[in-house]
Amino acid sequence: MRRRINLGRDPWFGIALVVPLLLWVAATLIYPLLEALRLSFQNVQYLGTAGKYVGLSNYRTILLSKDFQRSAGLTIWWTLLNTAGKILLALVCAFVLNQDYRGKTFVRNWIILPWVFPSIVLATMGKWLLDPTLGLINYILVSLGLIEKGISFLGNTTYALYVVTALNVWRWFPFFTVIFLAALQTIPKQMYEAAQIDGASRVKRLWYIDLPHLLPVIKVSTLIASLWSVNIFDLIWLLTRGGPASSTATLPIYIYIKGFQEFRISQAATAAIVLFVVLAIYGVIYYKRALDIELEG
Amino acid sequence: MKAVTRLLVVLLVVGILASSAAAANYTLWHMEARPSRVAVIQEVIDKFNAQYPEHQITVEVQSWGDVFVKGIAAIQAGRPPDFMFTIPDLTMNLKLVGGVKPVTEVMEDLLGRYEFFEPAVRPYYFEGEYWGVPLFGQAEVLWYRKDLFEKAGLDPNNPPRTWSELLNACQQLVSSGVVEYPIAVAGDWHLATTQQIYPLMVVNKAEHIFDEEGNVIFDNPRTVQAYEMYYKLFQMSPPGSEAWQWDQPIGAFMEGVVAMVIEKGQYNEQWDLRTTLPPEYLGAAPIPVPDEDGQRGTPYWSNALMLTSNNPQAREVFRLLAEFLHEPENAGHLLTAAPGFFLPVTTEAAQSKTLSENPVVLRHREKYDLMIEESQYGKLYGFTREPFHPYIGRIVAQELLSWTAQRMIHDGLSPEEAVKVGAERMRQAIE
Repeated sequence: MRRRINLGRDPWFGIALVVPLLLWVAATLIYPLLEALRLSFQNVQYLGTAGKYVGLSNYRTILLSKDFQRSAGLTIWWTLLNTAGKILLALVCAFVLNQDYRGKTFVRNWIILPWVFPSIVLATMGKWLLDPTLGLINYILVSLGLIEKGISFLGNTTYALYVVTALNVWRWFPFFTVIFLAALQTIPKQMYEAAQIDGASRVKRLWYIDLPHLLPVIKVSTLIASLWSVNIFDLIWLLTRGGPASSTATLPIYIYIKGFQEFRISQAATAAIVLFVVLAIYGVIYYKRALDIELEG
Repeated sequence: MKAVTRLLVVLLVVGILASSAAAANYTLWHMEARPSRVAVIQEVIDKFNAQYPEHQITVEVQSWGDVFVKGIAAIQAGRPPDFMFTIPDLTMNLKLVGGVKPVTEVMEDLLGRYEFFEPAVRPYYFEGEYWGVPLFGQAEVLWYRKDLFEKAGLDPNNPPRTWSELLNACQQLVSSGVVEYPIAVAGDWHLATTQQIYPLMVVNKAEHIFDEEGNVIFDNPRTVQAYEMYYKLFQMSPPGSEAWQWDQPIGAFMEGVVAMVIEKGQYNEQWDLRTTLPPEYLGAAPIPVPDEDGQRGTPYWSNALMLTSNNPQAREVFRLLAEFLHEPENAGHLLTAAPGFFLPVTTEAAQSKTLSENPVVLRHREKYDLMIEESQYGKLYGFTREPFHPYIGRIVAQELLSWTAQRMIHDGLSPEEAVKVGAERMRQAIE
């Protein structure tokens, strides 16, 4: 008689399924993290060369560096803008897409389009649209008489961060829209019917039915959106390379420049470890407070 | 059974012979990623491979933005390419991690056979060895639209030669109504901006950024004057110039939005590609010099072939490749990868038939000859006096010359303040 595999009494099968993933995580996450930690206590300059142990000297240098402090502050502001932008826009779109109207299936299918663009395509499109001389955005603004001559959005320290934020929000909001829409779809229709019978307005239905149902999803999405925003490198680099005048140089950009243009890999690793620790603490606090999840151990 | 055994033995012997006769493979990295350049370089290497079937070179194209990091990573991983095209600061960077091999014997042999231009060779000779074999160079001139000059009442055959003549020409072009912006000046934190500033430093005798002891001397009055001039020109450049790199000035110049730009030789080919105007309307002149106490000069980037392999056989193939690439017709063929832009590094290459018969070179011969002549006065920051600083790569990789310009453009610093801050940044970079 053939023996049926019972996962409950045959843990090795489960372990065998999980081991490849664990190895992948170890190779791509844990090993680089430990290597960065090692580098942060040395004075390695060029990648792959030897260095001496310097204790906490790199941490002192980085934390006291004005460039690091400016990047850190910029990163916080960038994260707040991006997270708020993605979540709010996604919520609005989800509510709109949740209504009944002609063509809603088409819209629901194609709303995801910005998210599938590769970063290089988005950056190239952005640069062309925003070009001060040839770009469509400036052409429209000048034609409408709103400005006299083209603005260099990506070359202006006042506008650059907000423009890159707008492009990043545009790219990512569909992802969260789909999540929120799926959550709205799980709300029983009877609740809306009951509310309608009780004379609740649309706003009250939104406030007392939709949002409470969405709240857990919004909390998780906010955490994901914020963590992803902090780590954005490609779009910023492709659009501005951290300029103009470091006005878009968030911490990932700072770390890249430190390691691969200034050739101070240990200091770059130090900044990366600091960022990792801050994000880890943020994640843990957020989990405990916002999601009311108890951590074991 | 005996027949089968015999057959197996024959097959075995044939296999051994075939494997021993198989070509040895080598890898060449280059960073000329434009499709037309990739194609021509591949043609040249294909010719080499056909001439030396026992040595097969495979070309891999990298980007300039990546290669400073990728090169080091490849060397540290023990898997460098065998050969690389290079520029002086890249050579210095890779030498710091032990990735570059001296090629003195090869170079001395070639020096005995061909008349090399000194600015092409100088950056690759230090510590008593040659570290690269120059293949082609790039120099800058003042490009100007003769048709727009004529419309503005300026003599198209008498371009500006001094800074005051340049500023006067700018004024005349604008006041005559021919253009709103007389000159295109890149302002992004980018090599393109460095290539706007360094010409002004060179002609103003501010080409050195280190003294003989390797101390940063960037913050000196002549550098400040160069940045003052740069800023004056930048303010006359079209809106958005603070984000311009190479392509935008080309576009503005070809469209007639501006009448002048200081740049390298890509304007020859781009003129033919982007306009239908006759080649005579494109003018080139030496970079204008200060009214007093200036010098003729231009930035000059010598591109070389570098040996990066630990394989002893690769050294012999390097010699063959360097000799092959310097045979005049092969050298001329290589230069047609960017006609009018890549400049010869030997007199013999300059006279090659393949080069002379290239349509772009034919159409713009006078300008091309001017660029070859100017390259004799070529200089490159960090490589103007020995000993070359080993950490020059950090200053180049961070584009600190254009970073300094950004302090004026975005932070509102005066040229003097900006240069001071830039010098400080350089000192930090080489610590």
